[in-house]
Amino acid sequence: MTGKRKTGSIGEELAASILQSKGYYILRRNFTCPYGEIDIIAVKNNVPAFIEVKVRSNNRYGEPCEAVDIKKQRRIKNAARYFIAQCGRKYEKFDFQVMEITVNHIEDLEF
Amino acid sequence: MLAKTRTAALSGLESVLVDIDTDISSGLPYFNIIGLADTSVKESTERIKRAIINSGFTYPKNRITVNLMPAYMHKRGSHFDLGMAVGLLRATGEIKAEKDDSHRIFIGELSLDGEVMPVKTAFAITAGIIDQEKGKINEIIMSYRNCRECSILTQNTGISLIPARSLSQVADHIRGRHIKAYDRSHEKNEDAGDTADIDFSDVKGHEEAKEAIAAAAAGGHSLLMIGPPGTGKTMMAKRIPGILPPMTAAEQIETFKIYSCAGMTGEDCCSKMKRPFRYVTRNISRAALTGGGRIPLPGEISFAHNGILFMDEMLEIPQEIIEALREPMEEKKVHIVRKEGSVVFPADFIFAGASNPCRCGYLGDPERTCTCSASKIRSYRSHLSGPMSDRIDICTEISRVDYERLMDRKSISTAEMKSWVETARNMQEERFKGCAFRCNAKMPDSLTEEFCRLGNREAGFMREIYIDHGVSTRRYYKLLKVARTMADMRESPDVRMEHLTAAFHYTRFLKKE
Repeated sequence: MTGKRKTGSIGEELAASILQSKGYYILRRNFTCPYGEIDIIAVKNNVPAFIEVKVRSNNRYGEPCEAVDIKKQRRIKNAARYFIAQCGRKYEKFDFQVMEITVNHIEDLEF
Repeated sequence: MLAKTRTAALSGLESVLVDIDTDISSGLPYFNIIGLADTSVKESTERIKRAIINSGFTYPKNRITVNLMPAYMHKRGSHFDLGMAVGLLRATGEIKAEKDDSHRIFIGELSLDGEVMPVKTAFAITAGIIDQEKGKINEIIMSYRNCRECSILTQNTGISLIPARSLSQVADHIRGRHIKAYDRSHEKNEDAGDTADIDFSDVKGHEEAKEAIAAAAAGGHSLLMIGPPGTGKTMMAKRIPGILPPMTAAEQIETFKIYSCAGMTGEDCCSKMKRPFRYVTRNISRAALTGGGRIPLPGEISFAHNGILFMDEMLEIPQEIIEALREPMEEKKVHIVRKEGSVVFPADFIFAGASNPCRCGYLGDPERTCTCSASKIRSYRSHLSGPMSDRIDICTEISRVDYERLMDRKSISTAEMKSWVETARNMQEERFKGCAFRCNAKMPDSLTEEFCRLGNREAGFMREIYIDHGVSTRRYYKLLKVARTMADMRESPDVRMEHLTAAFHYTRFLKKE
């Protein structure tokens, strides 16, 4: 794993635990389909949430959430459609979220 | 949070107050402008963002929606930047002020470092606001570089003009650390000045044509010069600006407004504006002449407002383009109709044209023979239709000057012609005191009886002309008015025989088939 991917997976790990502590039940991690990828799919109160996790170690290239442009949004939307179609359950509402994680300090990258 | 600010938008020459609603809501970062804004307005999102950050304010990470009202009206231009940026700063809480901004309008473009840049349409927008929405606002904030030209409009209106340099300065102003209003009193009133470096004395001979040109400039008559190539038509036309009387302050404002609305003003102030002289050649399009475009902009005839429109090689111009001048010449304004609505631009110009007598150019030349066939000549002349030629007051034929004349040291100079024009203008000023018009050409036909009183001999002459030469009613009155100008140029209180014959002489060509 490269340093960048590692930072990302640590961020997703962190995001998942935050979501769980907020009462979400994690359905899928790194859901991949031909239309795109969704970092975390979690459910709370029977409303599935599609969550994109953005991890940045600095703000040099703008805010993390700004990186989720219209193209990325469209990929997430299509992947979400795919997931809903194949999950076999009926939901009435859906939730799309972006989680920003800003890393100040990384220690011990050797797992 | 929601914030409200104000600016104005141009629709033709009229200004409409535009309310800017800025709303910040949760969501991914996005800057959305709605309210029929065109590309130049939508591009302002990036300018505003950088200007806000570079001025040291924080820029929100949320969804920003800006609504420009009234939403049905098309908006264009870069002057919305300042109002939107202030709205955004208010919405984020960067600017906290007790009073709202409904009494002030913002006109200005922002540079990336937060400087308030001037916009060329500022004059037209301010003029429109003062005409139509005067009671609603009492403060206009604009770039300090626009203030000099606009201060002539705001004086004695109770509206203060705030010269802004940067976005942070404007923010301080709203918070209560006021910028001093622009003070016009130290402004020197610059005159247009005489800068004509070409003189009529460069054109030798042509006394008759020069008299005709002076009469056109003096009385506001339309003029046509006909002659073979190389005899000096264009040369004389280029010297016309030198003999035009200076513009009054009100005329300057009217004309400057038109240039401003088209974004054609330079650094110069409107008090330096000279009577316009617009030179039009044959490759002009109809829209460029009368004004037009999807979003209507003024054309050459409006740029020539209060001045002269000169059409060179007039009969080479497609007839439909020449005919487009008919209504504006009568009404002194032009209507441009679009499906979004129509706009009116003033177009009160003196028409001047020059043309060859035929396609080869030598018809009637004593030295060279014309090679055109009769039908060719007819088709060439037909570009000037009956109704159009009827609108031309003075037509002068220009022919080759003799060698003796060419070598003559003395010829009528600009100074001399200008003095005729001034004499005639003074006479008209005196005569038309209290009237709505100021020159002979604009005199209503019904008043010719009063202002162009004829003696017995003169009345008999006019009767003869009307009956024997079959002139139209319009031409009959035009003859009287041109004769009145001829008399004015010679300081004659009455229209006499010689003035009538001179006026009639200048219609010779128009009668020819």
